[in-house]
Amino acid sequence: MSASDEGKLDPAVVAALYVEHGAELRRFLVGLLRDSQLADDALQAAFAKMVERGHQAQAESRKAWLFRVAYHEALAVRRREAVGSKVVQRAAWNRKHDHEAADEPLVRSEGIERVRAALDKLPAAQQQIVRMRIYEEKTFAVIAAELHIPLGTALARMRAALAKLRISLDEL
Amino acid sequence: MTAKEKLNELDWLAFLFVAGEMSDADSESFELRLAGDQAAREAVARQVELTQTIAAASVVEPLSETAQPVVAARQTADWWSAAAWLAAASAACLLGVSIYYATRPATRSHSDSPRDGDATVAGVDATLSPQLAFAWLETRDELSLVGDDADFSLPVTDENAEDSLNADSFASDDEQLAAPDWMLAAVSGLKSSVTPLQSESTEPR
Repeated sequence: MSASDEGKLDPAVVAALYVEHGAELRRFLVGLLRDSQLADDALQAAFAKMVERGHQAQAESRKAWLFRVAYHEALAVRRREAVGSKVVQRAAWNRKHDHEAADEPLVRSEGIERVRAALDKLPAAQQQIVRMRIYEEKTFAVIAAELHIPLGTALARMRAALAKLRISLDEL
Repeated sequence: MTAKEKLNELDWLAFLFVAGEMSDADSESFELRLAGDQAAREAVARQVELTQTIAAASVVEPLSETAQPVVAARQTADWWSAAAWLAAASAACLLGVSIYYATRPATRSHSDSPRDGDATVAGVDATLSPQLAFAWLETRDELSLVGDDADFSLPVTDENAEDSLNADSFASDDEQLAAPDWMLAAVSGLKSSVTPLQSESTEPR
């Protein structure tokens, strides 16, 4: 595969890159912007740049090039929307601001089932932390206060739970 | 905890960044790191996927009961509280019924069956012959006007004459009652003809 004569990347190449890295790139943008709509705007802009200037990148580094372009496009989108990083304090998994693209779901159904099974196997203390942080969206400081445990303990339990849940998701 | 189970430092930082748990300074510093660190960018993508999957799993099906000790404890406490109230209410109802049956006036009709523990006067079940008791009361009133010979102890009041039929208001066995002869004869006849659990006619003679 090579760049077109106009200096633009072959659309087929761009499409292949989208299929291969689009979902992961969108998740990165959601984590950065905490808003799926803004993430979609940044994603679209990143691939538009890919078409125009993607030929400048080496084939083996097109993924990293794409992510770097997407990062800068995300900051530009955030500036345009006048949403500073200090304002966006909500978690990236906040469902209220999640406008999932029909063809780019952030989560896979089979992953949900695996994670749910792994959740049931977690110790009760870790399950509680996960539930309070992810589902109830309480900060770790609030969780520690409510459970009368040190903040470090709450963080440690969450870290241990995430490690186990990550394993279940990586097994897909 | 094995190395595989331990979340690596970069993934943990990425989670804190995604969760908004970093301070402003740390968050800006990590964000600057994303400009040139592909490993950090991919860590952010992984944590978003993981946390969104957990959130989706929690929404579709709540976590198991073992993960809700606080909620379960509250639900258990509420159940016990409701059970306690129900038991108290039942006990109160039973007590009320018991008091009612123990203190109700003897106004049973002639067709009613005598019950165990009913009031007795001079060996006769007072509820079987309320008419006879009334007759005795009237006689006693008349006799009270005659003199102080009779030792009456029936606390008859004008407000509620029926209350005088209550077992407690009758004289004890130790007290001497000057009953007329016809009274004694009527009582003797009733006592021999009435059994405790039979519904016999109790019309006064």
